[in-house]
Amino acid sequence: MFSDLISAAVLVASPDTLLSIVVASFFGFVVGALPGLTATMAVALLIPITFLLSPIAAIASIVSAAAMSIFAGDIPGALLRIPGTPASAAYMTDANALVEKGEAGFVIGASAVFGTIGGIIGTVILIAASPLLANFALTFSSFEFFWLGCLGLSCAVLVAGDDLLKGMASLMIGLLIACVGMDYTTGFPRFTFGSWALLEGISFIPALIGMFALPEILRLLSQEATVRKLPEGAPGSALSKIGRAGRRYWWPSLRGSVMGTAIGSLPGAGADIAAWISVAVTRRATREPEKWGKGHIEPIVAGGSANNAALAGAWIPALVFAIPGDTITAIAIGVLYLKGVNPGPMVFLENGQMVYAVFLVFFLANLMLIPFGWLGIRMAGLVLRVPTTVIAPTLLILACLGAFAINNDMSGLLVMIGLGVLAAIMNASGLPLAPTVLGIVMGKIVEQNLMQSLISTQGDLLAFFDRPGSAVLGVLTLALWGSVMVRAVYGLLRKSHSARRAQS
Amino acid sequence: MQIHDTAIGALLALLGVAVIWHVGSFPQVAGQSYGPDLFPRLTGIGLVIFGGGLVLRGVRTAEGAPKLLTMPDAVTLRRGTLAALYILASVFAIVLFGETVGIQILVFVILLVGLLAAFRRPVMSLALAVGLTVAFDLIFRMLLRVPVPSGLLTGVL
Repeated sequence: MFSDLISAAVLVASPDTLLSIVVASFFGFVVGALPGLTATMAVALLIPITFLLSPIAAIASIVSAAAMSIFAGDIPGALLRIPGTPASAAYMTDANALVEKGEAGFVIGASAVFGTIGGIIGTVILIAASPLLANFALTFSSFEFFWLGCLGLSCAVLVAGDDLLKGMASLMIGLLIACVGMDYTTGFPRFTFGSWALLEGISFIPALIGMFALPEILRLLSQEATVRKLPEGAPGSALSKIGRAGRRYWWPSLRGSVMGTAIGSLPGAGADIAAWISVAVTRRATREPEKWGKGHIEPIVAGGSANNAALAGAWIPALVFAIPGDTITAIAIGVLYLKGVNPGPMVFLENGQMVYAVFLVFFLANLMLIPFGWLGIRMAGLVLRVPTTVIAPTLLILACLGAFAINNDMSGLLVMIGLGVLAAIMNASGLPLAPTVLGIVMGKIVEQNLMQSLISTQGDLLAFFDRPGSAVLGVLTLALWGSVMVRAVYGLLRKSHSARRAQS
Repeated sequence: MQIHDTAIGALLALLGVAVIWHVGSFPQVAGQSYGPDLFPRLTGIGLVIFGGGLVLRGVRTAEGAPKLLTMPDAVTLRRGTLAALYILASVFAIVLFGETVGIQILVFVILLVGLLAAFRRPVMSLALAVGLTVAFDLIFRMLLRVPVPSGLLTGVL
């Protein structure tokens, strides 16, 4: 273990890794600070650029860009009342009210400091939990992984929104996309329509660039260019105030970090849900309810800690079970596979240094929030004054070149535009994107484990409950599905009953 | 633009039916009860169930004939259509003419058109388009060594 840690430190300390952390942080800062552009989009656009880097440098870029864009999303939320990323929306009202009181430096500084604290606590939990879970997961066979995949996908649907029907429909779209390409058992080409480019399946990174970047570019281009007015007033020194907030609200910060990590580790629930729940819980427990909504730092402490902690939490299932905790780790898993590193319990035995390097990168990336927070206080105005209409064509070119660079051919661009159109239609219909993305990533894994299990048992379905681990996971999955169905039927019955009563 | 639950549900259910029909032609493996059609078939069934569910719910909540497609006002619609056309045209221009004309020229044209349309300041747009094209070329072709086709500029660069 110790030698793994040393070699991991050597990997992380190499110039290309350090440089990519700085460059990716800067990129994440700019994308996060631009209103409406999400952390997932920052990561998706960054992948092709990290493509030729070493595996560690590539992962370092993903982690840094994600952590930085989640923090930077707070800046337009505070200054303009437009959240930079959805994860900042939970505490935007208070952040903006504080800025109007002339406390811009305090708000941005605090969101950097508490983001760092959340990220570091999340990383510590990641370090403690994942080897333990991996040890446990080593005993898993295809049966357990099949049930785990089903649990992960169900969880992704349940947390993606309150509309179960739309979540499930969205998941089915993702699973269908995952079926494209050569079949796992027989090599039979499915849904390829004679195209050789589709034999290997839908290329994952261009698909994600299409789904996350193109609808945003379309939205930016369709908007009227407006000149944003930034609030007046010098930020001033905020260090002492941040220190005081830290002493006073250490418990909301700690609770937010732990909750954020736990929520982040659920498949489908990412930084935004973590921030909303942490803020809601803090609001219920606060001793100063009268201050909320009028420029209070407590929600920023709670939400800012939670959303950065969630990023680390999402890596727990990703590293241990190869089940992404959010859309960002979904991309990261794709990149790990491309780099020849297969996430899952074996990675802890075969590639220990890689795992430790990911942990170290997390610490570094989160510590980078502090200097960038300082930079943010000074540079925020500059980034926010760039008209979105200039950004959009630039992002379009970045998306196109990125989709090309994955396989060095034009098929990536076609995948990108196809999935971009799909995402635009889904957005217009109110279908959530996250279940589709997790379906694309996990569809192949779930199908492979299902087919492997079916072949080994000659199609005997009861064998899925033979082993103790798979029996527990199977019953858990079926119980979850059962409870959801009962609730849905109950809701329908109640609705028709009240409709009948209203008629009579 | 807003697509009604009924419309998207019907589309998804139709897609599900098409998938179930199509996987019927997949070959079966001798001696095995399940073949390559199993997983897509399950997905197709899922699409029919949940698409159908959306249709039922949409019809129920709409009270009368549902409005399948809600269009935004004329100005927003025009801007949105132009933006979508710009994106589609840019991507297809690169796919179709990337090899012959070269990525650099296309990137410059796409940037210039996009900037001119939004910015309406010709000199500034031209300068930005040139600068960004050079920057993208430096990053992707020189630094990352992505073999972007240079087309007409092959000998020049």
